[in-house]
Amino acid sequence: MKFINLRDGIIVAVIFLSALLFIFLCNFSSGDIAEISVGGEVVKTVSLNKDDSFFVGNVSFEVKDGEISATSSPCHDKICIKSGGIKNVGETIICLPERVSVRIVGKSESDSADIIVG
Amino acid sequence: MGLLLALTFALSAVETAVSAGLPAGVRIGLANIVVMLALLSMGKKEALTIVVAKSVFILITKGVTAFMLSLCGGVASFIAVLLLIKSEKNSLILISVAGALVHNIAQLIAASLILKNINTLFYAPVLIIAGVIAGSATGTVIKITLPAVKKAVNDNK
Repeated sequence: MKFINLRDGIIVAVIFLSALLFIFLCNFSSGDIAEISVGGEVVKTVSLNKDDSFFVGNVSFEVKDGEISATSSPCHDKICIKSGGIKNVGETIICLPERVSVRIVGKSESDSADIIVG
Repeated sequence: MGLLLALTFALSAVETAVSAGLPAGVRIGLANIVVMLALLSMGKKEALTIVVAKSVFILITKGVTAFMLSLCGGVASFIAVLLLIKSEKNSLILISVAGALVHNIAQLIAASLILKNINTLFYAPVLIIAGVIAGSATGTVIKITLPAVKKAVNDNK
């Protein structure tokens, strides 16, 4: 078996670049509404414009400077806490053992521009 | 076989330690190196045993959720590697990267099912990038270590 050949190199490069492109296309719009779900059901919707801290199940969350982050959780890996603060549309914080997930869903109706060009 | 199994457990533990410094959810797949080495040097049965044993090790050390994710990822990537390895045309890098990608994607789907929520799928691009990098790295390690492992397996027969 060969270590690498041209065809496979191209396949791998294309997969890599398309994922990279997807991230760049998706990650540049910040939102200010976070939706928190437990086991697939939305249990809480919070605005990121106001600093706040609260519990959902056993996981505590903090809203600060327009970002939401998980601050404590009883789970093993603390992946939710390591995710840090999120603020862009589509970004998520997930705590699998507690079945809690947070997702930034969009911007509230406000005076912001619809589209920023250039 | 026993040696490879022990190596898997050790690498699994090392990986947990190393992953602490990486972005959330990103793993290197060190233990997958051993699974592929087993598949290339011994056979399907031995490799599958290692996949399942690794998941059981995770069940003991990290709990049920992690076990389910590990098993889904492990078995799915095992099947992908098994299918790709049949053709001589496929290079080691392709097989290794495919194994890492399928591993990540299967875990992501399993996570979505547990959460009953598709939010997790937004994480796919990050895991795809991580999978390509990790797969290339593990492929290189396999290339370097395979001759020695093959020799050891033959000597013990």
